[in-house]
Order: sequence, then C-alpha cells, then structure tokens
Amino acid sequence: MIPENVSDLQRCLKETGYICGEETVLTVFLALQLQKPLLIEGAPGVGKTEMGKALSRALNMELIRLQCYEGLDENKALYEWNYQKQLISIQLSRELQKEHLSENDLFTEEYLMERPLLKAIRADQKVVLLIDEVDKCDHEFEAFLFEVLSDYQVSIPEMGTTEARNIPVVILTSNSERELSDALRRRCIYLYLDYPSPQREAEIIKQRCPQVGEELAESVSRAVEVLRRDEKIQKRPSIAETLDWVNALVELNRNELSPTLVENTLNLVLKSHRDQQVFHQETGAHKLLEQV
Amino acid sequence: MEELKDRLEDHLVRFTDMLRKQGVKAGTSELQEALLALRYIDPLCKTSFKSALKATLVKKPSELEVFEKTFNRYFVPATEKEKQLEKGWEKEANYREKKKMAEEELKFKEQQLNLKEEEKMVYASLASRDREKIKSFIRDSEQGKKVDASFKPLIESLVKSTLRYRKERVSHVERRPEPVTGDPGWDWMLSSPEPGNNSSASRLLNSDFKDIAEKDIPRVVELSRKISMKLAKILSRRYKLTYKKKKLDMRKILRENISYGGYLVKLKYGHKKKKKLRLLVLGDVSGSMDRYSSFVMTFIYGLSWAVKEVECFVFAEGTSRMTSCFKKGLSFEEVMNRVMQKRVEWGKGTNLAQALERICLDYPGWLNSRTLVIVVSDTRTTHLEDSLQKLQFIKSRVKDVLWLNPLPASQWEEFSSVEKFQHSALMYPCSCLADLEEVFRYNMKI
Repeated sequence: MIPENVSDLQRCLKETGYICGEETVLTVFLALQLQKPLLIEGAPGVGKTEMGKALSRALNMELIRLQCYEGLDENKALYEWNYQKQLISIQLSRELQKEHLSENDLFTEEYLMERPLLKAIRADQKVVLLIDEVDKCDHEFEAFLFEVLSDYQVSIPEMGTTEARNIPVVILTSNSERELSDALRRRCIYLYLDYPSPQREAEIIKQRCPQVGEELAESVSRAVEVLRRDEKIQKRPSIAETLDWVNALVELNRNELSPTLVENTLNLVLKSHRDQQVFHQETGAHKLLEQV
Repeated sequence: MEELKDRLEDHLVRFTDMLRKQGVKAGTSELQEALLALRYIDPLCKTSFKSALKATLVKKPSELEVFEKTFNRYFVPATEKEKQLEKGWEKEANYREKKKMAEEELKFKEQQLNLKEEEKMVYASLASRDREKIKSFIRDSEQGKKVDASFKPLIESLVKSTLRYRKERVSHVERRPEPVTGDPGWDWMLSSPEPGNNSSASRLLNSDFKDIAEKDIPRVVELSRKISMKLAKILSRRYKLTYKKKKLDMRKILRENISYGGYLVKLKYGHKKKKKLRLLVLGDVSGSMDRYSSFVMTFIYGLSWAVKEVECFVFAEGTSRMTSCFKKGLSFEEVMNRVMQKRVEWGKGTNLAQALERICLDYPGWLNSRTLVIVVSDTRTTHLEDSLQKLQFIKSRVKDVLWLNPLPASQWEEFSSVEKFQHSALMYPCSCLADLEEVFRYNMKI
C-alpha cells in the first residue's frame, strides 16, 4: 500500500492533484518508511493540510482529522463515555425492573464514544491521522499527544490499554503561531513547506483548472509571486486563493491579465483593506503586470 | 563497501556534532534516524542525501539556515574543503597578527594596556595616522613628571574612550567568529556569508539596530511589525489551562434537565470569562539609548498594530505617554510626526524611577495580573535603588516584567545595574530583530 520508492509516491500524489517538489516527496517518503509522524510547518496556505488529505487519497487510506484548538482536551481528542446513554440505561433497568446493572456493564464498547485519536489507533486498516494546527492546542495536550505518538497506545482506565492495530500515518501541521516543544519535534520527521515557485504554481493551476490557458496560468502565478514578495503585504495570497483567482478569470472568459482586470479581481487574492491600499499605493496593477 | 559505509557514518557523526555546536538540537536519536533514513535513499545522489539529513536532523525553521550553510561547506570535495579551510586559517592568522600588533603598540611603561579584544581590533582597524596619534599620546604621557606605573588605569580609560569614539567612525572592525567547532578554520568558514543567500530580510534581521541604515528603516519597520504581530499572538493567548477541569454549574444543569423530569441527563459547565493580556511598554529614549531609539519606536509601532490594549510610554529624564500617537492604521511616518509634536525630551539622561513612579500614580488600574510590562532599555539610569524598588513593586502586581536589553549579553557584566534589574525582570538581550524573534519564540515561557 505504501509506495516502494520516491518516484512512485510522487506519481501517486500527482494523481490526486497534489504537486510538490522532490525534497518534499522524499521527506514524506522517509516518514512513511520510518513510521514516524510527519510535522509540517509553513505559512498559512502553502498546502500543509492538503498534504494530509492528498496522502490519504494517494495511499487509499481513510483520513481521520483532529482539528486542534485552545482548550482541546483528551475527552474531545481520545474518547468519552456516553454519559447520557449510561444514565438512560440505568433508568431503564430500574423502570423495567431488570437485573441491577453493574459498573462493568456500563463501561463497555457500547457506551464508548471514540474520538479521532482512539479511532485512528483502533482502526482495522491503516489510516492517515491528520492532526491539524497543533500549535493551537495547549502545552498539556501537546505533552499528552507525544505520549500517544511515541507508543501508539492509550490507556482507558475502565477497559485497559489499547495498542494500535496498525500504526497510522500521522501528519501534524503547524502555522508556528506558538513554538512547539522540542520533545514533540524530536518524535517527528520535519518538513518546512514554502510557497511554490511560479513554475510549480503554474503546474498546480493547470492541474486543478484544466480549462485555463498556459499563458494565463503562468502570468497569474508570476503575479502572485510578486505579491508574495512584497513585504508590506500582511496576508500573502495562498495557493487556494491563486486557484480562486484563476477560476474567476476562467469564468470571465479571460485569457490574459490586464490592469483593469487585476484591479477588479484583486479582492480574490488580497483579502484585507489595508493590503489592497498598500498594493494600490506602492505597486498598482500596471507595475505588477510589468513585473510579470 | 563496508569501508565506504564506515566513512559515511564517521562524516555524519562529525557533521551532526558541528550542527549541535551551532545550536541545532540534533541528538543521538536524530543521528540514528538519519542513518536509518539513508537506507531508503541513494546516498550517492547529493539532493536525496541532503533532503534525508534535513528531514531527520532539522526540527525547526530557524535551524534550516544553519543546516544549509554547514551542509554546503561540509559535504564538498576534499580539495575544495581544504581550500576553504586554508582561507579560514589565513583569516585567523591575520586576525591574530592584528591583535598582536595592537598589544605590542599599546603599552604604558612597558606594560600592556588592559583592553578588550574588540578594542584592540578597533585600534588595528584605524588608519596608521590615527594609530600614531594614540601611540604618541601614550609616549607623551609616559614622559610626564612624576608619572609612574600607577597611572596605567587612567591611561587605559583615556585610550578606551578614544577607541570608543573612533569605533563609530571606522567602517569595519574585524570580529572573530564565536568559537563553535573548536577549529578556528572551520569557525571562520562557517561565519562567512552563504553564497546566494543575500536576502535583505535575513540581513536586516541579523543587523544590530544601531547599524541599520536610514534607507532600511521602512523595511525594518515592516519586519518589526510582523514580528510584533507574531509575538502579540503568543502573548495574548492563554496556553495555561485555567478552566480545563470545568466546574459543574448546578443552576444551568437543573434548568436544562427540567424537561427530563429532573433526571440529570445533560451536564452544563461553568466557564471563566476569558481575559486577554494587556501590554504596558516603556521605551528608553535617553542619550545612552540614542542609537536604539529607532528600534524602540518601531517596536512600539509594531505592538500597537498587533495588540488591542497597549499603553506606551517613552522616558529619558521625563516620561511621555505615547499611546495616542500609535493609533492603529497610521503609517510609521505619520506616527513619527505625531511623536515629534509631543516634544519628547530625547537623548538626555535616564531616570527610570520617575517613569515607574508616574505609572504607579497615574495608571494604577493597569497594575494587575492582566498586564505584562515590557521595558526596552540598556539599564543605565540615575536613582538606581529607587528604580529597583519601584520595579519590584510593579512586578508584584502585574503578570510579569520583560526587559529587552539592546546591549549584547557579552557586555552585561560591565554594568552592575544589569544584574540588579535581572532580579526584578526577565531580561533578554535584544540588539537585532532576530534576537527579538528569538526572545518571544523560544525563550519566553509566560
């Protein structure tokens, strides 16, 4: 199921629509071979989450996603007892004058609510576990997470220890809003994803929007690269925003960029009033197209 | 083949050790992982080899640059490596020669003057005419009446002052790279800039604030603002769980479960109201901080963009409240115009005590556990004891006091005030933007 070499993996990923460089593929390949979690860092919108999704499609595995946020705890990530169902069972047994329910009857599979981590560990088939935006969770949860990821086993006090039937493919993503602990980093293979080069982005555009002309794909990718290089722009356009822009241009039946078209559709790539103002004052559509 | 494998392993151990000495946290397990990874790739393909090492030995974005630099210098053909090392040794020899020359020429009554290495290199970098002036000053002093060896500290002090003055006017003072590998040749080689990596952002991030040219200020402002926004996110988020074990809210539970006939089917929990952190920034714009005042202003400007609740003050002999100048949305030029209109007393002496006193008297509402105080200063102030007392008082009331000191850590020993203030504040060296980022990303555990 896991490709035997780097080029096979690259081909599989390409088939799912995920285009990336050789270094990226090699890092993912090593994470798969060494059965280590892959920690992906990079600016928002470079394709970190997409890598997890693409990998699940490429490897033909189920994707289990755990979205991290402040306050996320084991109950929401690992498992929880279905308190309401347990209570109803107790009431029913009393009402129907059934045999008295013991504690063992109440802490069984029937009342266990699996959350993403437990689901990934107990899955019959190998799955892709995507732990998204791990930098948003708390330190305590992070510590709990690397315990799970180092042994791939969890303890449920009422039921005992559960070991992973199949070690999942784990992808952790982070926007580096908070520095992750060294302990977590040490357990992972590390990949830093940067924005793609204009050539690679043009390739992505052509892959995702087959109806777009080559010339338009190239000029859009170069224009986006110019915007990304501008340090005064706060929120750099992501790949998804580039694709939105291209789709809009295709819908408008345009084959090339013109200053007016850039002015009218700029809000698809620059999504804050301040960035748009900076663009108009510092660069402008004419100057942008000169650099394309 | 076995021999090749052994040599590769040997090189990998040395390479990892070199990374470690430069601050990359690559331990034995990372090294084992790297060796394991090499089984799955073709080690003779340089790109794959490099990617495999990068994936296993590097764990942080900040380590990538060190890795690239070291890899590109270490894994080169032996002849090229020797050539580079020779160059490094040449530089070392040249440096030692200059230092020796300074030591021999700067003597008073046959005794070497007690100067720091940097001062000796400033002397060596001077034009021969200027060096001759210093030498003749020492010679003339030696010939004075009743002048003996006890005058040496006085002469030292005068020479040091001259060198400090000259330092500002010398275009380049050679600095020996930090000894990281134990081999000076390698240290010089690693300290030379990476060919092709001349990104201005990287250069500006690592430039001392006092060395930043005026034309670079707008870019520094932008970089500073971006870093400030990042740090504001770090500061304003509550990573310590305060309400993780939520309390059951009985009133809510009863109300929610009336429809179930009083059986407690649904549980409701009480939440604490989330409160964001507030920042109180104190920037030193006195004479000793003159060269860093642009940093102080850009830093506050960046923070004002990123944090909703921020109070800003600048102080020298007096204190001025600057919060109104740093209105969100204004350009840096507009902010500076407003600052100029405030008629702040720039470049005089420093009196931190009165600044702290004013905060205690006029802004008592800010002195609570929601507030983080950030002081940007070199610690040189009058009324030191008074300042210490007041800072201690403020510290006892606020969340914490962070002190960003633009003086390099190597100079901290020279000032007793640094040690004293360290008892009341978390102090970090912060002489360039990279330092600032480092402080907030890796060091701060608030």
